[in-house]
Amino acid sequence: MDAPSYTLSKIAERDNLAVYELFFGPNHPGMHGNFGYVLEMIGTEIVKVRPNAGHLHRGFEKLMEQKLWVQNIALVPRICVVDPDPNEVAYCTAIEKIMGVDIPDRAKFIRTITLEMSRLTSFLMGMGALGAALGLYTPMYIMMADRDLILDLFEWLTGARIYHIFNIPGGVRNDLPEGWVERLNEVLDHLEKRLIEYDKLVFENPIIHKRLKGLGYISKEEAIRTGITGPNLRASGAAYDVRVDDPYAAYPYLDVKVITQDGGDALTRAVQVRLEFEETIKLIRQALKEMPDGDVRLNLGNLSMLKVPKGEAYAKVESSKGEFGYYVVSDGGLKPYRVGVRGPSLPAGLLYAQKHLPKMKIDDVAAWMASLAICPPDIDK
Amino acid sequence: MMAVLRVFLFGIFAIFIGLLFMGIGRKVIARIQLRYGPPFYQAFLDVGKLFARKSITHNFVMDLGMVMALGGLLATMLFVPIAGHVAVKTSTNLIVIMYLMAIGYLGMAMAVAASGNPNATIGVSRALTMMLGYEVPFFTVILGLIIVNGTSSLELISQSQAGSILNWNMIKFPLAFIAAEIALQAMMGEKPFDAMIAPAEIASGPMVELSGKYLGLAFLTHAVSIFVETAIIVNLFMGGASNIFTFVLKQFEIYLITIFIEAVFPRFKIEQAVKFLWTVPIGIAVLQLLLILL
Amino acid sequence: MKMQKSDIVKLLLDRGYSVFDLYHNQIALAVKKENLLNDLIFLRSIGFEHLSFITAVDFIDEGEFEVVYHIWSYTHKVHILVKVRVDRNNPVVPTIINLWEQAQFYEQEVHEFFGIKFEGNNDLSPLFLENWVDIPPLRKDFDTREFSIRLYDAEVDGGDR
Repeated sequence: MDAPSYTLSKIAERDNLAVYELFFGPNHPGMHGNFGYVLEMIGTEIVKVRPNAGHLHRGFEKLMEQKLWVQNIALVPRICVVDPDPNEVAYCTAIEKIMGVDIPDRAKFIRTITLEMSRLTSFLMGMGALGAALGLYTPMYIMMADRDLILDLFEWLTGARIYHIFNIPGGVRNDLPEGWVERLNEVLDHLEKRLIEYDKLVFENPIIHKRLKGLGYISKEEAIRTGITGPNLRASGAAYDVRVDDPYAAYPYLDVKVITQDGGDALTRAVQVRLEFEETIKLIRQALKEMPDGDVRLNLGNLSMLKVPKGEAYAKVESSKGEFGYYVVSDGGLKPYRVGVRGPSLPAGLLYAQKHLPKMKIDDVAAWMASLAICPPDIDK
Repeated sequence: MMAVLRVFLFGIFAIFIGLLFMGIGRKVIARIQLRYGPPFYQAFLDVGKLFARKSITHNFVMDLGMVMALGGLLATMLFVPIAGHVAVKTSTNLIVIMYLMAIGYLGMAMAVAASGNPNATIGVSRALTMMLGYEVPFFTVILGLIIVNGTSSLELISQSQAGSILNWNMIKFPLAFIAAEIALQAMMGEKPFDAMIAPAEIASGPMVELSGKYLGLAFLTHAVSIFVETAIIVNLFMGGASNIFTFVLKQFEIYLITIFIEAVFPRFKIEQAVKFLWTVPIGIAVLQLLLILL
Repeated sequence: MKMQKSDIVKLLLDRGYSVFDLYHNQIALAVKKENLLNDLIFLRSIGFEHLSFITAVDFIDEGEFEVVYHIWSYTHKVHILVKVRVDRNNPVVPTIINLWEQAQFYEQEVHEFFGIKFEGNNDLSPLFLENWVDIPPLRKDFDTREFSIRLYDAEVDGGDR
């Protein structure tokens, strides 16, 4: 597989007319979000890649310095569109670390349950997007319908379907309503039954195996060295999970099983999502069983006049794509001094594009992006 | 005069049935995907809307190519017997039909290559490669049937299956039917062989530069191609029909099989598709050929 | 082999670093920019192998930028913040793209938003902003309200800040 790219680069040097430029661009049916790659190609093989980021830059880091601490919770979920809850939890955890407070136990369990439910929706969309990048549209529609059941539960609990603004420094806003837990159990049972259909449609499909095998191989050492985190890292064989290494919320009380495989290519990553899906359902069930009683928020006074003492903290959370980190610097005032956001898609979207794409054909770019769970909003912020 | 009117009526009929099949097909796929789907006459509304819009054209070659595509397929349709009626009464030679079908693809290739978008050029090269892929097994199947019947006239082949259902070539030569079904999936450009369209990879391939009336012409071309290809299969394997209604019903059955396979498969890469088409259907067709000769 | 956080703090103090103990698994380290590469190589050799993030903070009252490197160790489960202070009027920091490849993009981002030069990094072209002619936007002396009034030629009539 190395010989063609050597020859192609030589052709590119010699004959400028053979190379043409193609925008795998912001306006493309196979791209997730407004992000682009400017590809230089010969025939259908890619020779050089230049990322074209910034279409989704909304200036969050500057904006957050000009709003009150609690106003930023409305901005923060919008940094990641498919999996918004880890943002809120990471931001609030960083503030709680600087203030030195510990939230009540019931709030920790509610945070864990909403985080895991958000992970389920993101996995459903991720599996659907992987199929859609290859032309398999049927499971994508069924998965979006199932995702709607979970979003209805969120609307019942928090008032909004996708951007919840539910976590605050000191806990969560309100307690679980009557009947919510029974409905959640029904939805989980329904999802477990559906997993059998998804297996038959997506994961045992011979064409999916043929298309994804050997695509975008990342070895374990390379993944650790270049900052790949989350299910992608575990699919390359490294058993690291933020919920186990640096636990937050209620994870010290639950037993999280860290699933690893060694394969490292796109097919392994797709199966990894499927295995972690089952594990997430088990975690929610365990958290529901062990949830204690109590209040759900600390009394920190009027949150609009919250003053966080001087200090800094870095809090990280395991989202469905990897490690989401928030670096919060406070100077003792009503507004943050600096908030730095670490998105999990930057190593995969920008660095690995230049490592993997030049040996690939145009057919595989969309499937490669979907398998690495590259989500452009958290590259651009 | 009567001949011109006859040709015109056959053309309108082919377009009408093709668009109707497209609309019902979308409804069937939607029900498989657990949603309601558009109404069954959606394809007519789409074509009506597209022809009411302004369109962008690059040059004269693009105009000519699109019209040539539709014209080529309509010309093919003129020679295919529909329940015994043929638009042009001279002959229904199978070789002529297969030859004229290629003009449709070549017309579209010419139109789209004139637009200058690299996505479109990649799509067109994939379409022509796919044609290379499916023509070989299909021709092997046709060769077998021509040898059995001793003639290459589609009308005579369909009449030789008259009688009972056990006379149909589908029952007498099942391996040929299976090989032809796989080739038909590639001929109609449906998954798993739709590398030509591939929205997620090359932004809809040839149709990326077509807008307004040109896209409407592309829809009509697709509709007529559905009609012609299912009609050929019905004539070859299901014995034609005695009246038009039964003929359309048999065409619809073949189209439904295509839709059911399309709903659950992703697409092959173009090299994998051609490799598949040149090993599995050809093997089955050659096996059938040997069974016929011996 | 896993070390406790207190052992790591003791090891770093013995070598002469100034260490701040932040939380039960986070420590901060202040280094000088001349020794930055050697310090990072040393940290990497004792097990801090995952570079999460590179960012910067603008301390305009003190006239300095602070570039912060976030490094996590999978073996010791400790997070370390390596901070480098540079002068605000001529901010130059050595690059670390030879140690960690993903630093290329983080450095590009910090250069675009703060104006800090990373010497040794040849490609500091703009990553997110296009045709930007103002000062780097995340600096504290960039006023967003005044920028948008100037850009859109707006009339401002009252309203609270």
